Amino acid sequence: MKTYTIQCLSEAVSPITHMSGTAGNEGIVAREPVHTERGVMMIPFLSGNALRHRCVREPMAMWLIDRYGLKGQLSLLQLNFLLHGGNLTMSNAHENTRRIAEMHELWPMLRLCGGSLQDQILAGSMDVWRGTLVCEENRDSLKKTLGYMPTKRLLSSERFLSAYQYTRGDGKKTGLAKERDDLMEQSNLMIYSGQAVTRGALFHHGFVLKHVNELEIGCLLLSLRLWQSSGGTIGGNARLGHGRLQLSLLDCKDDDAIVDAYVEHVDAVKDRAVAWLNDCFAKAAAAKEKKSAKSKQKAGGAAQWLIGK
Amino acid sequence: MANWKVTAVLSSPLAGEAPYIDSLLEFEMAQRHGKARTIQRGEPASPVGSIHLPCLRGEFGGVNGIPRCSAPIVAPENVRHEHFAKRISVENACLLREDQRLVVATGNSWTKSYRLPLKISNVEKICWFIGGSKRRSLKSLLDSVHSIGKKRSQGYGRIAEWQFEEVEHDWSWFAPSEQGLLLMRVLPWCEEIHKFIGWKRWCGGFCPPYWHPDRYMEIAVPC
Repeated sequence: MKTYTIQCLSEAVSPITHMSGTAGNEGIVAREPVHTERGVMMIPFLSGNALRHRCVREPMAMWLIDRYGLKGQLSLLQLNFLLHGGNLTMSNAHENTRRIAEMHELWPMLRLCGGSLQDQILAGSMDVWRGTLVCEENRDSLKKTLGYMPTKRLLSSERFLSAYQYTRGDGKKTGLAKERDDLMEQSNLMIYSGQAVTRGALFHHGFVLKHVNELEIGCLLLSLRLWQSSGGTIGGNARLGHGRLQLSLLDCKDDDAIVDAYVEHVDAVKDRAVAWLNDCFAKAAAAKEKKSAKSKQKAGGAAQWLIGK
Repeated sequence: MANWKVTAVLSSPLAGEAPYIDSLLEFEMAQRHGKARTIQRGEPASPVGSIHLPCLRGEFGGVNGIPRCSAPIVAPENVRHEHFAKRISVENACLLREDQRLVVATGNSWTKSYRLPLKISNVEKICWFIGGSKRRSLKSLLDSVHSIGKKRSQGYGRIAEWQFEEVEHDWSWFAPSEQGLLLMRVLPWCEEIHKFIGWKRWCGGFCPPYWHPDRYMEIAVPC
């Protein structure tokens, strides 16, 4: 087992609207303070949380659900666990080491991303870096990570900021609504706008895979391929074509052999993996059924007492 | 054996507080011995010193085995809050089993939505002093530490480089200042502590694992 660092450079091929909130009805892009020669500047960035979910967990979980034929077979807890990491909800939390060892073998995706069963937290092995905008203000930070930077002055972060504005139409204007509809007296027309990081901006980000084997690397590479093939979006307004990133791997080859080995492994352990997933949630489901049966019995008893009275 | 100033150069913001270096070293050592994540709050902690640390340990206030490592020396800037929001995702309801397609309350239980604050600060460097150690031993352990603080899996507290500088004096517990001897790390509280400056009386852990109740006692914390 080794620790691998995979660095990436992603180019914005459509406006990036990874927002931090709104001011009025204008969306504001997420920024972080960065120390520069000119003082502290607020520079756009991509959060590690968003990159982790959109690049790895979501595409891989959806692929596995499809591959294992789990569509329409999952409970809400299982679905939440696979797509969003799950929640620790039971008070008798413990560490089941056998369960962890089996998870490492059967679910390389969960080994990378970790998660939380109802009664146990499963630690992940992957750190996802924040997306750093390649701009003059971030020169020092990028140099520390990349080890080199061009001597030529880079563009300032403000040069990568633009704005968008859209209009939501009003059905009244189509003339198809009923004439005496009170709701249609007011106009529903809405103009909304916001900031965006322009096309052509570059973000540097990366993944640190700690003490993993090649299956986990294959899992990550396949996730990135799936993410890219489904548009490679990050942030909001993807429905309007925003947020598309074109990914390039630095110092790492997108190796078909490693990905194929991962796919073979996934197919080979299919039955055991599904059984593991069901087993993890079976105990909780049984406890819940027992509890509801008990409360029903109690309610039935109370009703009988009332009737008797 | 020498005294060292260890510096972590960070390349991303730090979430939460900077850790004690003895806890980082002990966790790395425990991982190598298969002892990491083996105890919980409810179980007794292993005796002080049962996991080897590549530095000297000393006695203070009648307590043995306190590592000769200083508290983190850090100058945080732009201290702020970021938020972590979570809500139950229903976009993929079509993947659910027929009997699981229910109305879910989002105001309570595990499906409750939340938005938690997380303290974030910009930190360029964090320093620690370590007494009686070898560069090779420290480096071999700390090279495995790629990030520190909270929410490391989301890119916070990324370490760009570990630097090791040999220093003449051991400033891991106390360091000279114009006003007197300055306390440099958490130590058990006792009368002797009044000889030093820059501390407050508190209750908490005095050596790793700092979070374990067995390590709790009256302590003097640098401030």
